[in-house]
Amino acid sequence: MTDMTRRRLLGMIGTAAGSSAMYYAMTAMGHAAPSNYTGPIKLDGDPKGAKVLVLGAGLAGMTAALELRAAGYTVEVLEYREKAGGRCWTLRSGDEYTELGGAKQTVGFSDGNYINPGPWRLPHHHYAVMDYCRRLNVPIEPFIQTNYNAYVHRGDAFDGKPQRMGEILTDYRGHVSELLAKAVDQGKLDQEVTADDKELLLESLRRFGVLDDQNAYVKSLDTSGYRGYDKQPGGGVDAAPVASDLNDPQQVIQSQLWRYFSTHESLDHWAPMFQPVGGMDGIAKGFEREVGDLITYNAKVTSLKQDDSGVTVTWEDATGAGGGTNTSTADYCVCTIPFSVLGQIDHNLSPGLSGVISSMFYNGSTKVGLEFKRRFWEQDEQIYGGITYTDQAISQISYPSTGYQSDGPAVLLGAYTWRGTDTFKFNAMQPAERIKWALRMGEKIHPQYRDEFKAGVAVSWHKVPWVLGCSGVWEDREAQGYEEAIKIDNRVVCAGEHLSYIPAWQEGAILSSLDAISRLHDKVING
Amino acid sequence: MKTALVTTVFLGAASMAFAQSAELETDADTDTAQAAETGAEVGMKPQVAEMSEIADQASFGAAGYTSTDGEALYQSLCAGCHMPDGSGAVGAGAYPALRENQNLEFAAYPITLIVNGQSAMPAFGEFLNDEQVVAITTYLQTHLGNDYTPDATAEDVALSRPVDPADPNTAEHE
Repeated sequence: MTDMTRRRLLGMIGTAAGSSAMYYAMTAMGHAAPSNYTGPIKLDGDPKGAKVLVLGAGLAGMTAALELRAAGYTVEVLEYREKAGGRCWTLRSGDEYTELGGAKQTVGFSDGNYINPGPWRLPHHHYAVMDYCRRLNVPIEPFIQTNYNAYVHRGDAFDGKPQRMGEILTDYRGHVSELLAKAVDQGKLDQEVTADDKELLLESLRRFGVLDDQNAYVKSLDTSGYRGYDKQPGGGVDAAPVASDLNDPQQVIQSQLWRYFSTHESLDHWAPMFQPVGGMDGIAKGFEREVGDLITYNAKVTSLKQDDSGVTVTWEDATGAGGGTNTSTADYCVCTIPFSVLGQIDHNLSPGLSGVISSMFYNGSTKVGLEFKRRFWEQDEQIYGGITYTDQAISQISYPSTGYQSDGPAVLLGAYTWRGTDTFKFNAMQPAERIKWALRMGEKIHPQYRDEFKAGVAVSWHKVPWVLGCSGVWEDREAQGYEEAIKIDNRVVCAGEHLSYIPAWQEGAILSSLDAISRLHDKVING
Repeated sequence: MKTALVTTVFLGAASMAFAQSAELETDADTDTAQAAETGAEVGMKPQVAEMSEIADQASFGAAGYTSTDGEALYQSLCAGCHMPDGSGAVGAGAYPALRENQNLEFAAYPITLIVNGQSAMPAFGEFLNDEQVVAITTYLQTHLGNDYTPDATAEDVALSRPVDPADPNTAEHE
């Protein structure tokens, strides 16, 4: 350890603190600045009954429908699916889902159990989503993101045995603090640290790393109070606590388990996070209560044309029931159809916008929900909610944030891939195969999987018929034409998560929509 | 091997109407899984009804796409959207059928798409080497109802690569 250079040390700290993750998060979010959601939108001025056709009844589309009707517009919404919400979606007991290719799954979960295949947690700073939940009477509850008693796991670390995050995190912090304290104490950082700051820095490191008064991270009841005891303090006879052994520094660093410490710390994942009670589609249903009367379901848009006098959209019955081609017309259009689909629809949008539509690729993601006969993670392992991270393709196991201590079956998220080759690999599998792999990998962390498994459902987003992917991807907004894509194109404006700096989050969809209808309204009122 | 593979893939497709996932068993063969993860050769194992051989022996992570067999690559990558028999799929939007597809007559077109992506299709050039792209292209030109003279070369693939490739594993959200 002593030969570790300061440069390597700092590099290591940066990695553990998630420098690259934070970089992406912070640039994408415009740093930790306030949201550009400033409360309920105000669309003043009389649109004189102008009609807006909204394409898509996801959160972007329904936000537009709700606010435009409130502002005095005539609104019509066309939706491909049989229900509202788009990617704001929950699969629960008895639901049927048929993915592209024809594989049909009937969710075999027990009554009340569910999985959110798409968005599944709400950050505190997603002000628009939080405010719509309040306004639409969508009850929310805490989502447990961080659980130090959950595991961190890598196949090549600790002989593949999962480690409690709190143990590894405490050891990592202790060893790094000790190193840094040594460097400060020995004057190696005198150029960076003033004499005045030195003592305070050392004191802070003793506190941060649970160091003793010699600035050492050692086995003690103090450190056990952070990482867990060998035997917990009890009551009465033989109740004295026994301190736990520490992992040595090399082991902690070489394990690379510190890779999993940063997600919780990123702004998007700060505790507390939230979820709608009973499933993410609570938000969809909240919107639907307000604008459901405006929506035509099972409407597959086949063309979108505009000229100087208005917008004309043709659509067919998406269920294949026939009925021929229908036509809807309006003065303006808010189009929230994902570009993965819009690119295949006959339209006469401007070359600039068309170029972006036809060049945006879509991200994939896989989620597998697994129902087990009992909550063994709670009963056997004292894990109440939160997330275990692993280097296996499933990447994580998220335990339910509700129903603690209840008897009977419970559902956990048994796999969540995000982009990359593992996502493609799962996408090329059938649902049963994805479930099987989620079980194979998960049982390396929880051997109870084998006996307790009851039912599963697997969603691969490239195979979701109504979006063909999970979210639109910008490699370089400037080069790809973000500004062009968000412009009002004569009478049509596009909106959705893909037209935001918060891609794949519902907040992005709503903020994009609010911005789009604000500009559209301004054009209607002021020309 | 090729016949067996195709058969199991089609069996997999035929069994995809599985609805009672509760019937799934976690009879994970740890040795198989372990070997698959390290990319080691695994012998033929009896197939469970709902698991194709190619899925059963899948490897992940850095070992995910190391095969240079066109069929194995197609069935574990392209088939996810274009389907095991190349028939494509139709929803709100569509995935084009590669079956009996005239655009596959000359390798330049599929090579460009595989390497760089197109429309909603992501680029695969970042994790497939030249030999693998040639293998997939050759498979496409000679299977799935296509009967073209394979004309893909590693040089064609190299030439179609972008100067500054994007990393498909970059996470902007997780």
